[in-house]
Amino acid sequence: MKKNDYKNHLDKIKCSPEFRAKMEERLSAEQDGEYADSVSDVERVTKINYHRWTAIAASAALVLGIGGTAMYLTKTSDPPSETMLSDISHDESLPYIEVETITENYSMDVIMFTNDSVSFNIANIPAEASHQIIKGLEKCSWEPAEADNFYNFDSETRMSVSCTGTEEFVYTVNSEGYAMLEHEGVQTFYYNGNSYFKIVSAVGQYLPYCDWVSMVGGETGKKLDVIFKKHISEIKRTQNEVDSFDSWIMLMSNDLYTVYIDQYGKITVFYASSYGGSGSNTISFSSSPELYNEIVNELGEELGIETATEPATTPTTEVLSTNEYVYKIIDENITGEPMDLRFVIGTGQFDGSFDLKNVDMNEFTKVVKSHNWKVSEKSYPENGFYIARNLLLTVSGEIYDQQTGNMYEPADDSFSDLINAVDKLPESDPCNHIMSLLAYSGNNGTVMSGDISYYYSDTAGSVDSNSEIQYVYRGGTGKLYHDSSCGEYFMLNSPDGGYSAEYMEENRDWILIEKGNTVSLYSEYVSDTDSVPRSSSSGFTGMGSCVVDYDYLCTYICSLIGDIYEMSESVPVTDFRYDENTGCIQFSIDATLYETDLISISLNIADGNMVYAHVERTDNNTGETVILYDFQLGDGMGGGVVYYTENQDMYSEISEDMKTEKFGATE
Amino acid sequence: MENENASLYAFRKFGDTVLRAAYACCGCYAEAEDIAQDVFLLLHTKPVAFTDDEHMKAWLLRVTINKCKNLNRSFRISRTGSIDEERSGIYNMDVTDVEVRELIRALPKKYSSVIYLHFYEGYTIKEIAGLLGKNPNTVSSLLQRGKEKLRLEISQINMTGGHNYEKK
Repeated sequence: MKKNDYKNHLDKIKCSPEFRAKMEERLSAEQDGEYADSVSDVERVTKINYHRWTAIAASAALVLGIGGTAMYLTKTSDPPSETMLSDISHDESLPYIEVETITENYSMDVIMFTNDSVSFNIANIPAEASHQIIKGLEKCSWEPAEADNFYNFDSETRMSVSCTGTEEFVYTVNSEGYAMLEHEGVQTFYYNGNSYFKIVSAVGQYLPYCDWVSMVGGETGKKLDVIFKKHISEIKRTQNEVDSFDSWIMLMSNDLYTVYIDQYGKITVFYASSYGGSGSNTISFSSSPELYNEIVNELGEELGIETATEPATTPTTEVLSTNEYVYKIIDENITGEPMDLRFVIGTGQFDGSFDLKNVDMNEFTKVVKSHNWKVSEKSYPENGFYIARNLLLTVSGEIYDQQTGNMYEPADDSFSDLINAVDKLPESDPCNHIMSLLAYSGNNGTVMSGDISYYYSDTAGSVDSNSEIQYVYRGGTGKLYHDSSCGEYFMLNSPDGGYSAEYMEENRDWILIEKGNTVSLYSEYVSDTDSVPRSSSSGFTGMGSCVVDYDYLCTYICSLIGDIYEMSESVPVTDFRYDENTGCIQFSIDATLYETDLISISLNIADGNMVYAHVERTDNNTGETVILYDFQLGDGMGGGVVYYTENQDMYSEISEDMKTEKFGATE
Repeated sequence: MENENASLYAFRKFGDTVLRAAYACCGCYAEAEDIAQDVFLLLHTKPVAFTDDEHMKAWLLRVTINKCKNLNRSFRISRTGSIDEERSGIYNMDVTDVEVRELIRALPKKYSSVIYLHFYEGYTIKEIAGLLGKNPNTVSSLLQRGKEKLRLEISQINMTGGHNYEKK
């Protein structure tokens, strides 16, 4: 597929006449407020609003044309003298407009970047910048090119450099590297694949010194420009730094440049370094916090940012070795106390996350500090990782620091003990461990243990209290018998209402006791194996759903509720059945499985991906409800997301309470 | 236009844009229509103040992408839109269109939104980051991986001679 195929295909997607008519009718119905082009009834925006800047940058095109009126003004600031163009070799075989020979005092009026949808201009380019850019254009190793090549890329962003001196000439370079020089009414075409982004880079180094009126546009741009000029002597080029974006505001953004400033006055310019801006480099400047605060105070409302508080104090930078820095961030983010982690499962189709509680990090910290570290060439974790405050601890043994955006890895490439240490993180708590295993099971689309996995596609269901069989219309059901005399056994129903297999629990393992003996309304989905239907890419849906390890899940649930089966005064509701004779708990997967005035358990499986279990206790006297367990496996997207909360103390209390006092339960 | 309510104005101006974004994210015209309907009805019932059309467009795109995510998370998701329905009801699909649609469908959702915003709407990485509330580095990674994924899909198509769908 070519890029144009993608665009052409989407271009054909339009509202059908029927849909348009229907929507117009619905949207014409009574509604409060009216919309007009002008701003009306605008709420005060109190948060950073990037959308507005997107809009401002896009509208900058309307402010100035290539014949913009901005004139060259020499800046009093101290812009950088170096340029990336300086290393461009000169091809003596090609004709050049020797700018300085024909225009002794030329000025670069404006640089305009434009494409089909947006353009913006940079004016008042400092002398040093314009000189370097023109010299760079001159020195590019151009090759002669056909005019057609230049115009073939009509829709791409192009850059026009207009210069005025004793003579006028215009360079226009498109993002493919084709250039057109217009001089004395003659157009000459050249090609240099690298020229465009080299010039973009060169211009980027001067952005803070250029005219912000042109770059931003409108009254806001003028005010911004005034503020910048007021502080321009403070603006100095610094080494490139990329920091957290939490405290930044975006001053402008377009296809080529995005400018951020933080509360310490650090200005970072991201500029496109390859086609489409998909790769970007940075140029950093430093100013004073006052610049930031003045922008916020003067333009806060217009920029959609919060009013500045006290001026920030520029932090002192501690110079640390990579090793020292890794140890430092470990100490800052991981204390000796157990901490909560979130595990993010890979990327792509099987993404998702789950939370772990009270993870013991001591062993991991110890292993980290037994290594020397270096900065990795990777830019971001490629596989799963645990989030520990600002750190991402990858399953591959790396550490990603969200503050700096750097990834660190062992200097000696010995990852194995780090991988082991990461793997063991959830094992410090049994509940965490089972959650991680469940998540991995779903993530990998494999059955973690046993043969039972089950797939449900619909939530409608009913219960036949006589046959004790859960009937559902299109989904599957199961019954969990939790009987003091027979132990636990679990019967899976087929989607048509019969059951396909029965399993009995023995020492926490499920043993198949019967299969395929169904009371079926339909037979096509009744399994004749010791597994029940499971989802697959060619199964019940078009999506490759994850397989929930149902066996393991049920075992786990049993381990939670195993002591509370002998209960009285149950209050059945529609979707569950409690058999007082057998003491069995039956549940419909699709609905509440068990509920009394004291404890409520619901378990849902839907779409083949999601299991949701909710266990809560309602106090008879106070009516207070306390959640004991609440977890979810799967997020409906084919991923193995597990959300899990618990109140172990409360559970223990209730469990003991039920067993010994109120219900006289027996083991 | 002064007498036109915001949602109707938005629909007339950006109806196709929203529909297109939804389609680019979910790969199914029928679902895209549902999403577009939800988006504009949301604006209709809970009006939002916009500074200008670009602001409105950015808001609509963000809500659209969020709703696509929600759809993907819901139990009702259906990925079995009829090619015939789309051919006859919406536009004349040729072989290239069908291939592109299959590629869009094959693309994991997390990539489809950034691919669309970047390549079709022309947003930069930083703008997409602002729009989606993601770190620019993350967006950049998603874009790169999305393109790699597309390349992989394309190479598979080339190797197998195309997807197994009926051709017009």
